[in-house]
Amino acid sequence: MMGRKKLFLFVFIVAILLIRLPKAQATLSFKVVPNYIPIHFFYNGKDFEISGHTDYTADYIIIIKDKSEKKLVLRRKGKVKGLFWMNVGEISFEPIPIVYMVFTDKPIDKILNKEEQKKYGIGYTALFDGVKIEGVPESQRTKWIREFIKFKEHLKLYRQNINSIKVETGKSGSDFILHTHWPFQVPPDNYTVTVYAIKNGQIVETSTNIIKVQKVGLLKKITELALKKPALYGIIAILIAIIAGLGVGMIFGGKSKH
Amino acid sequence: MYIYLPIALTSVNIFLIVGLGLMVGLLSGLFGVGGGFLMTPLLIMIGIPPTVAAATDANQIVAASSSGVIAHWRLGNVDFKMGLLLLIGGFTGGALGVHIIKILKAMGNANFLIKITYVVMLGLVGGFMFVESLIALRKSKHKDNPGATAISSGEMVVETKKRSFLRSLPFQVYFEKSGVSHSVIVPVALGMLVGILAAIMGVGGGFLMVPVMLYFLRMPMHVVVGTSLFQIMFTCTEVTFLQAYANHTVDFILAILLLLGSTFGAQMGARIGRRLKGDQLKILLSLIILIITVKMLLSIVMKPDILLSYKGGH
Repeated sequence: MMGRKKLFLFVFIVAILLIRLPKAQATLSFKVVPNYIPIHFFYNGKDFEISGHTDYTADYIIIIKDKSEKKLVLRRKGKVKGLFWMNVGEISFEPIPIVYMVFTDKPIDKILNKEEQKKYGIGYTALFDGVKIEGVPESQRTKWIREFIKFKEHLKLYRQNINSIKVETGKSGSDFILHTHWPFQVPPDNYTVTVYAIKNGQIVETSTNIIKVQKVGLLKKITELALKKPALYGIIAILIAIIAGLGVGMIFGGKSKH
Repeated sequence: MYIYLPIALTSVNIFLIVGLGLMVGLLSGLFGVGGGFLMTPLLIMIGIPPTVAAATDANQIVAASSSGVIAHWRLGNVDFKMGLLLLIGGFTGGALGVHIIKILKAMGNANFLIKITYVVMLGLVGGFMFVESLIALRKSKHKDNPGATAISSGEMVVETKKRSFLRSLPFQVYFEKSGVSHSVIVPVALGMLVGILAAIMGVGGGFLMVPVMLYFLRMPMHVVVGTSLFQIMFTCTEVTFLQAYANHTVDFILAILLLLGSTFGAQMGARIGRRLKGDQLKILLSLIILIITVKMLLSIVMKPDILLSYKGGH
């Protein structure tokens, strides 16, 4: 009797394990070079590369964004008295990433179905699906999403680069590569890079990596001083300004009337 | 050649920033204005966040104005007595202005009132200075013809009444450097008025203080420039400290780059100014103020490309 129970238990565990195992062995692998971007005094952004491989033929989408999706409150311009354009109030978006970059090998709608786009938040349309917008009437939602994207793209924090990934297909599967530039406007933080492998309109595999962007050296020390000892930082800033001003005044010299 | 700014979190062209500093410093040394009304929008235009642009601009004005004060002090153009009285009024007015802003915000539509105040004040000051300087220049050209310089009897009566009222006030003091006598109440009150307006408009107030000293206090143009810079130096020192302490928005790397240009610009401005007549200086300043007014008016009448912005700044 005990033997049968043990056998049932064994079969049950094996069945559970089999169900939880992926349909196929994970073959998507990729690397980000460099995956660490130090910000020093002469930093002006950085060229970087994302390359990888799958054992099968696929299309690819790469998304880079920050981990923390918070509430972002902005000033909103509008027309006052029918003539003047000025700040008329605030508008908030929640939850929304600070940075959102999408790279693809083909147009999103051609390679991925709408349900999958929505499920994984791929592309601007899907990204804003779950975003709560406050400060404007619901009827103006589309208009302000468009304005938000325009604002973020202007700051180089959002981008959607279609056909930017190069794919080479061979007998052993396919290789992909993306060469692009990391804009200096992106603030220091850890950013998640997610690669989606797509077949027949479905995501078949995903893999993630991290890009670390960090201030280093004197630049880091100055920031720490400004944040941790603001009074001292303020006094130093004033003293430098006065000494520089007086110094240049002395260098220039000139006749005194005193 | 680019440099990354630790507080502004952006990369900028070193030569562009030094050049901006040089240009605004030149105006500062020439006219006795801090140049905040010009520099802050320019910095925002090249990608500096508005809060950092406004705070850092105050920091660099400390350098440009101290450089300018030294240059004008050497030329004998700083009335320290008058400057201190205006400063006392300015500090008090600034504090009052901050409270007025709070009340305006509570009433709603504060931004509209601030922008309109800005445009109207700039337009009035610039327009008045331009017309007045133009008349003065014409008069000096017609010196040989006494009929052309005659002042109307109406103007004489208003001027006499104003002077007798100012002389009737208590605590009269003679300001040697400016060559004028005033009650101490007058510069303190005028300083306060400018302080209130400057706080409402979010600027240092140099372009308001210069006309006040010229037309109300009757100080000579060259002394006005030096004394205005003396006052601006203290006002901006206070603003820099408060911004660094409370908001962490002063980027002193950006300030150093700006002051590399502005300190030299201020010296050059002071020297160029020495070669120009008072009325020529006034007409140039009024033209700059009028250009800024038109630009500002256009910016609020024409639809902007981007309707969203980060909070903070002017």
